[in-house]
Amino acid sequence: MMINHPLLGLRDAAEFVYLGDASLINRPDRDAPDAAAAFYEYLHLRDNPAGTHRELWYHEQGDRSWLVVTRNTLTHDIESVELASDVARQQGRDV
Amino acid sequence: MSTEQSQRSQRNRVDGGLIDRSDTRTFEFNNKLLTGFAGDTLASALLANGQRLVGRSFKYHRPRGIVSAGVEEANALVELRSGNLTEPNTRATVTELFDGLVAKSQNHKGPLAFDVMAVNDALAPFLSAGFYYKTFMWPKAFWEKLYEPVIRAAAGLGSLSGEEDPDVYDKGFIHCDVLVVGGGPAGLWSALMAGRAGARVVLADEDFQLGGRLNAETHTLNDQSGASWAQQLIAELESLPNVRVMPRTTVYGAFDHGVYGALERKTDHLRLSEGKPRQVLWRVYTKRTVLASGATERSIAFGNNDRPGVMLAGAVRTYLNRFAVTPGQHVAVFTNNNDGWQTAKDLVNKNINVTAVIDSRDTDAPFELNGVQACMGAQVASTSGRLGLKRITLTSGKSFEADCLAVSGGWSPNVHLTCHQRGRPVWNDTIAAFVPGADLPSGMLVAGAANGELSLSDALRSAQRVVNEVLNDLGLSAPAEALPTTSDSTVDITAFWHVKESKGRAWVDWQNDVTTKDVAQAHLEGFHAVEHLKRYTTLGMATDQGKTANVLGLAIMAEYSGKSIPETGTTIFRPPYTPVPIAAFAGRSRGKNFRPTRLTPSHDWATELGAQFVEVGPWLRAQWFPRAGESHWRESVDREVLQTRASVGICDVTTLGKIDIQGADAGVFLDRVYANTFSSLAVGKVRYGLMLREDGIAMDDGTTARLGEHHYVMTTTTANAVSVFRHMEFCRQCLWPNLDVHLISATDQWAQYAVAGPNSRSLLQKIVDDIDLSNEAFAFMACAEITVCGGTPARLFRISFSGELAYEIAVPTRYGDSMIRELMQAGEEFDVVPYGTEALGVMRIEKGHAAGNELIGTTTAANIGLGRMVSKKKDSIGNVLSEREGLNSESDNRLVGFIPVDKSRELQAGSHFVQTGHAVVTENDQGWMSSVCYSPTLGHSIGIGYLQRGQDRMGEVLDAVSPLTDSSVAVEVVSPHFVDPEGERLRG
Amino acid sequence: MVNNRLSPRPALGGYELTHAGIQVKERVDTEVFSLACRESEKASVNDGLQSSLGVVWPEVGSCSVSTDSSVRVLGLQRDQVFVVLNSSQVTDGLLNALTNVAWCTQQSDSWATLEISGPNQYQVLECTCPIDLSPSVFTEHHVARTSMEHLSSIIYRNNDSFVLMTPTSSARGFLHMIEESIQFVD
Repeated sequence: MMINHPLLGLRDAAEFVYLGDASLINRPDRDAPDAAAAFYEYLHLRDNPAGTHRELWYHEQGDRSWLVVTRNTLTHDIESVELASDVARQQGRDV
Repeated sequence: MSTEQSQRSQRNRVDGGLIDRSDTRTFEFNNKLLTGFAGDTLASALLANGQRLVGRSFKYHRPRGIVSAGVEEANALVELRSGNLTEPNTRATVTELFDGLVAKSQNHKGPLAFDVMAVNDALAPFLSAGFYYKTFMWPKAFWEKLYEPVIRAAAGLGSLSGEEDPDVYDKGFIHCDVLVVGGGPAGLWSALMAGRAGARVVLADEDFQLGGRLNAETHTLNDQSGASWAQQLIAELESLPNVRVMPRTTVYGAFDHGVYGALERKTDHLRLSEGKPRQVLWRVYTKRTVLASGATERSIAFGNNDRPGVMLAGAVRTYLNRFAVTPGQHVAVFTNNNDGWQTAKDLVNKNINVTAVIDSRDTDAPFELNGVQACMGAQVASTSGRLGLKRITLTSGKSFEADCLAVSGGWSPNVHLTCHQRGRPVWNDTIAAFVPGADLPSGMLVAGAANGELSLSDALRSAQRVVNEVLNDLGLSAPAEALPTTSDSTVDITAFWHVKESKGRAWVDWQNDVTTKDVAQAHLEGFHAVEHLKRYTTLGMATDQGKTANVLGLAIMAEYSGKSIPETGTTIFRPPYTPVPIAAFAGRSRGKNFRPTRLTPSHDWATELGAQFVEVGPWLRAQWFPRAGESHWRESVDREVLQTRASVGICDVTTLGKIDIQGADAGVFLDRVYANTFSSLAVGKVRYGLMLREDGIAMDDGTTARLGEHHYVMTTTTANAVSVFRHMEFCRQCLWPNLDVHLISATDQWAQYAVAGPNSRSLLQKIVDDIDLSNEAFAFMACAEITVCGGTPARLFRISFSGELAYEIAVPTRYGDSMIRELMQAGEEFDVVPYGTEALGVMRIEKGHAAGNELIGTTTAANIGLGRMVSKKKDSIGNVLSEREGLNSESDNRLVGFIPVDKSRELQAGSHFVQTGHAVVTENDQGWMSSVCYSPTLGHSIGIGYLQRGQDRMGEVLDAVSPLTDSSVAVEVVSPHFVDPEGERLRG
Repeated sequence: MVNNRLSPRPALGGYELTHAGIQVKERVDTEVFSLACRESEKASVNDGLQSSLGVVWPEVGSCSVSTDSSVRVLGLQRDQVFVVLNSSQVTDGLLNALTNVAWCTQQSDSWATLEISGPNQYQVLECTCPIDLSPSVFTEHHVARTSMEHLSSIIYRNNDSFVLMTPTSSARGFLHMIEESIQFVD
């Protein structure tokens, strides 16, 4: 597999480490009243779509950036690749 | 042997061909010395010498001969070379003949011509499809003891040497714009046009001689012979700097996103590889791929169609035209298309006797051939000849003499690579074959026979069309070049699969001994689906993967079930196209090179001292330093511990992960990744930190020093250095992207030594430049950036893993070797001792520190008695979920110490605790011993481990049981801090 | 206090080899510093780099080289670069300048540096390096961090040669890999 790194272009998937669902970016607020439940869901409950999936990859043998890769789990087609830090900021993780 | 002699022995040689008659090559087949020429394959040389019988079949041990001239070969598998170089199941048809080649036939006991296992053939009625599944079920115990060993001994293909492969294998990476798979007419043309247009082209062909069918046929292109036209193109391709021509290279797999696997046989064609790689496994990255992989001919199923001498008609032409060998002196042809006739024509032109052309089509003969009897609408019913073909009999009863029968059942495009990304081939009635479907791997285009465009002119036209499309995609302009004028013929097939009035068994798959009866049986028993047919009968398995058999088997199944072929199913292919040795996949990753080794800065020094090393992850660490007279490792380790505790010891702790953390928000960041607080740590101080996973379980621990207002240095455990760094980058980039914090690994930057023991301060005072190490000036948990030995920059930390007064001193790695020697020299007056990981482990158990044995992925902070470290004043990873009810029960395991009641007893790690006298059953399990050692300080065995409510059970006596070793030791529960529980030494 | 000064030892002992049209030489005279900053600070960091070293903050995958070629900045991450320069250039003044410009960390001892050159260098590198190194694609202005035979590595061009940086602790294994590749050259 090749991952089209937003800064480096196509790089072999062998350089990357896979983590999982990109929803891991959305770490809940510890002070919210339902924090325990929210953390439980955040950590343990995942969708497992047959199709488009947003997931986290880490370019460990490269520029050390975490990426959000949108990949079709049926075809392996990669629709888009974004820097996770950009995605996190867009999602309001400016704490 | 003289050239004249060798010529004479090669009785089937004819004129012409692409062999070099000036280069005679001597080889050995079944201990018989034979000769051939450069340019031969082992198969062509065997045929030249009249050797028709080359092996026995897999199951029935039937005599078998060469059927093809390529990778599709099902029968002619040999054991190549000898001793530790032996390579079983090597296809003679693609083995380049080299001087000194040694080959043996396979699958027989006793001589090839008299195989005692041929009795299996007589038992054939009992050995049909599903035989093993049905027969060897009962009695159950017999399978392992009797049936399985006997079947294993009788079946299977060649045998392995059992020795290590002495050759080397390599891997590599190739980047290109266009990968052309196959060097036949379509491939050559595509590659040349792309090369002229300036694209970076790789042209790979499995053969040692590029040209494909051009070398095997008598076509002309622009009045040139096919072979010489090919040579002309190859010469130009090789002259282009942007083109890489790779003969002997099989593109075996099409993977995601334009990645292809290719196996290059670098030295397989040489007697010895002389230290160079035998094979190189290439990963090819390409923008576009032109698949020009050609087509493979199929046989027809008829009675005894597996006899040596029955061959594919196209292969007969290959041997005749390319290798200048006729497979027989009296040849008959059995065909369902015009292509078979071409074989007869080529043979007649070489003055070989063609006894008959039997054509299943009830039409006029496509052309007349002098002296050749044409039997239209006829079928071959059976063959005869004990170890080789002598005669064929038609269903009409008519019979012909023949020592070779050339069979043409039509050509199947080599669609394999088009299927590697779930593509499904589609049926094409005109050529009675599967052609590539629409769903190709990204960037792939198919040209020539591989696309079902079987005639030479069609193949070239499709290549032109495809390469223009590729160049257009790449933004390059196609060179203006007209296609050559070609002599041509069409295949004109009328599908015909098997002779229903066959006499004797009719083979579908030679390699797996699958006959039409087996297919019928699969149909009868309900295994209609192609995948079931394959698994029930073994059709299409083993080394050839059914290249000649799959479509035939499918078509026959379609006939039995009264469905069309597309309704019956399609064959689908996975990588590899042809077998790839495991050794090639391993490449250099063998033995010591299996994974990288990391060495500490003191490695050479420790080696000089004769240290015993141990692997810790990728690191090699000194385990202990044996001294003369010490015969057991414990002697060395006990000495190292006692001497350290009595005076001073030194240990290389470089392997601990070090992460340099800087930024205005570095303290805040650490507060969030550690369970405890670091923003409050004073500059010049060190603190122990516990890192949790988000689920509240301990992830890693270590000390972190604050070197400046915005500068921390974290240490991680050796094993988790990489994963902790990755986790921290995740936190930094994905969770808190706006914090001003930056991470970089400094593990390799610093050589770090622990200096421990009551004399450590005195020793270090001799090393450091003008710094007061007194307890007042440099207290426990202090750190500083200093210089040593007259100006070398260093870092000093007053931290202790051993429980003694101790320091860790770090210098830039380049000074690491010099530093350890200097420390040892400075320590001479204190009788300093170097200690290894064993003594380190003993001292940490004596001190009750949790380590890898304790942090096992289920451990909470509370388990190791650090529950209060999880600060509730701030958010941190794992903070919320560490409060889960299940992790905070009163009856939770606690880390406590254990000593044997009878001090002479040894404790065992992994023992479980049960109350004295209780049964050793899971219900009574109260915890386990995680680490044990012999404590030289206390003079007996000690252990630490987890015990339910351990903190409240001091003094209790339990049984530590190990059902595995059938041992039970009475132990007393004690504090895990066996040595200096109040910590006076390390603070002193 | 002892009188002995510590003597430095290069990671590969100052290795040199010429074989099969390939030269390999350990660089023992370079220093490496990492610099890191946030996106919002890049402009001022850039000014600082330009005035102190005559280089700029490069994009990831690119190099910035000073006009006299003595300083090279490797763009390894969006927020982190390596400054590579000659040991003789390192002065307290320069260290101060670097520390003032951005978050700076000494990395010189973290890396062993090999320079490989000669007509057959591509044959060696294509069996170890997954990056496309052809001159039209990978120029003097490029840098890549990748892994070779499972060993972390940084590669860039220096005139007609390639410079390979690899972590010190596994440098001997890395060198072994290069030596083996050289043995394999036809």
